[in-house]
Amino acid sequence: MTKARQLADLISSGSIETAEITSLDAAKLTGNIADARVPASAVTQHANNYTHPNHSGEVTSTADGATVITDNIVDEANLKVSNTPTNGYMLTAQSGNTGGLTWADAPSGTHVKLVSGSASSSVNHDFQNFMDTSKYNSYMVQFSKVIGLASNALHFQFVANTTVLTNSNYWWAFHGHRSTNNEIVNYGEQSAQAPLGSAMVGSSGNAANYLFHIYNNPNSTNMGNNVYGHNWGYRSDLGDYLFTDYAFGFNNSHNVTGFRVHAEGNDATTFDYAIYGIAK
Amino acid sequence: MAEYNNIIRLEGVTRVEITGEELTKLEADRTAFANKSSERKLEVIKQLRLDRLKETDWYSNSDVTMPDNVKTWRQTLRDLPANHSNETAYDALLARDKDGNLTHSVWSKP
Repeated sequence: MTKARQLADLISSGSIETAEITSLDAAKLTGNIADARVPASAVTQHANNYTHPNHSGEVTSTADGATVITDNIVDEANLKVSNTPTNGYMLTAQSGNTGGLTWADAPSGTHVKLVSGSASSSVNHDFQNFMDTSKYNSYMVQFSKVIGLASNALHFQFVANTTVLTNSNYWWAFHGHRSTNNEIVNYGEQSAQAPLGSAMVGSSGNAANYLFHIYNNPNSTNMGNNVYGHNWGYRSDLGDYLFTDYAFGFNNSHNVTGFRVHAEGNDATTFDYAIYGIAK
Repeated sequence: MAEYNNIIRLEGVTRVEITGEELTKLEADRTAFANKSSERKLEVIKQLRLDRLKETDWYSNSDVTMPDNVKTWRQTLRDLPANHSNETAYDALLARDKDGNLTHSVWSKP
């Protein structure tokens, strides 16, 4: 085909045959068309100059490396859970729920730590308003490294809100054994307080230990609030290691919410403590 | 020296200084307790005495002859409250060495 003929065809059709474009030599693009060309060298240069940034935030990366969840960053807000949590709740698997997870109250029998710490030197230690009758009837209390007792007993009184219940409503008894194979016994009725077992010597080298359960029956009027527990340690005035088991009841209808401990003789004491609620 | 109440709640711990009537009562109770120090020491002495008397009760069995020195020692133990009537004497009876052993000779079985 002659060039004249091609020109005539172009004019008559108003378009260039596709075959003519696909075979167009790039070198023939000149003038304004040449400005639109992207030379291969420019493509290579652009690829070499690009640097991938580090990702920052809760999920990070080094350059274009793998994105990783930062340590110690995922909190409750990040989780896809079917409900809103309440303090003390546990995360449970529920495959049919949104996210497959649901916040739920502790199952029956679970020991839920309510409070723990080190009690600074004080005459009275009041544990107030930790009782929740909707969740717990029983509580387990641990005292360790009890220091400050000078051959004196640690005494217990229930507390209602902030009021220490000091009326003569405590019936108590304890019984234990000493390393000399001798028994140690005491008891009392209508006392203003109840001893947590035998007197102990709570020095740094002979710290005393206590473990007891509180049963809180809010609907009871007679001995519904009661305690059973143990204490143990070395009593230097007797020269014996010993333990005692103790029990007492509080013969009154108060809705108790906590308790006070203080040393016989008002010694200032320190100790580590932990209180667990036992889920109903 | 200041005295304190330690108030421990789920929300946190507060240490409150004891003042006014509560402090007055606390000091009165403490004084009353201290005034009974001799009685408590005597109770410990009686407990220690009882321990030792029980340890040698078997000499009283009909088929055993109690040695005279044990008879004398047991009587000395029984007489402890009568022969030791003040806190200084009680402290001497309750004295212990660094290993926690009672040092007064009355506690040693002959």
